Amino acid sequence: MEQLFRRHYARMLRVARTILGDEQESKDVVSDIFVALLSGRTTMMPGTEERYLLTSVRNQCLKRLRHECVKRQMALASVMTGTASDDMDADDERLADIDEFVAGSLSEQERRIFRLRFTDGCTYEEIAAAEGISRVAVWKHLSHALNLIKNHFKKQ
Amino acid sequence: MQTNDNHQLFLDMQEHPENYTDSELEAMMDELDREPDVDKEWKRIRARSPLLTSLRRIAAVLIPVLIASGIAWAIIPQVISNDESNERDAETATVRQADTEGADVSPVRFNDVRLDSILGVVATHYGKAVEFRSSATRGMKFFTTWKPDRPLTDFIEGLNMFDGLQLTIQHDTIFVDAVAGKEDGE
Repeated sequence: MEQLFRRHYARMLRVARTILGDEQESKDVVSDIFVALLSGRTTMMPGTEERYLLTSVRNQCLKRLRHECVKRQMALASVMTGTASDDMDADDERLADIDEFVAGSLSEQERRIFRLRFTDGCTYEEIAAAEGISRVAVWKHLSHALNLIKNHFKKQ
Repeated sequence: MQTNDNHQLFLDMQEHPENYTDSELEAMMDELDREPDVDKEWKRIRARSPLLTSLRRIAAVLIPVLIASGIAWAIIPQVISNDESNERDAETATVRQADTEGADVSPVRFNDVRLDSILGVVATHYGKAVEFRSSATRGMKFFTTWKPDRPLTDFIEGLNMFDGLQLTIQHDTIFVDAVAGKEDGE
């Protein structure tokens, strides 16, 4: 477990920081995931650890935003989910909607950048190197993608 | 990243990057990608681990009793074993959520521990005495898990599945007998 933590912690924290924008809250989300694993409340299928951990961070961050309804965080919550509803049952559906929108509406490069940041937990530097563009260009691509997602879900 | 102002700045930079200079965006990205102190965070998470917390609580309660009874030496290293072995315990314990929810204590795993030490801990928890009617069984060692929130009979039944051993509970005493024909094989 410690090896998994050391291997994936930085990536998990990056995903949480990018969604929550709060250092302590981001650490808490990642910590909760590992505490659940250490206690045996959660188990992972062999071979799926990295995907499980990073997806869990993304989902837990979104759920935390919805639960706490912190005013200062709602703007980003709406960016990621398009709604401030407390309907937890719809979380997975909304996440699936995001994935579907990303696949159908973003440019190929934006899809890659979006996935590298929010699914793989890559640094801006790593994304820039992979795409052969500057970090600022990466930020602007992500910003554009998030704004498109926000507008898409506002229409629903 | 630590304050509301920074958080608002983070949100605004995402929505309106055109309002910021490249160096301002770079500074925000540096902050978001800052490498964490992994050692410190790992220690923090381990401190929150329910199993580790429970083990420490059990040790705090039982060690003074065990020291007073003179049988502490064998079991203390197992109860307060190092972080790595506790982690293995957490990974290998068969108890899952359904078993532990609402329970006050988590399972205790005995790794290669003498029977007299194991029973010293377990019997104390249930307010029982232990009587070895076969001295040969005292030194038998076991790898087993004890769930303090479960009835004593559950644990005794588990031990009775091992060869060469028969435990019975009579009133306030756990009697330990060797099973004829099996003890030699141990």
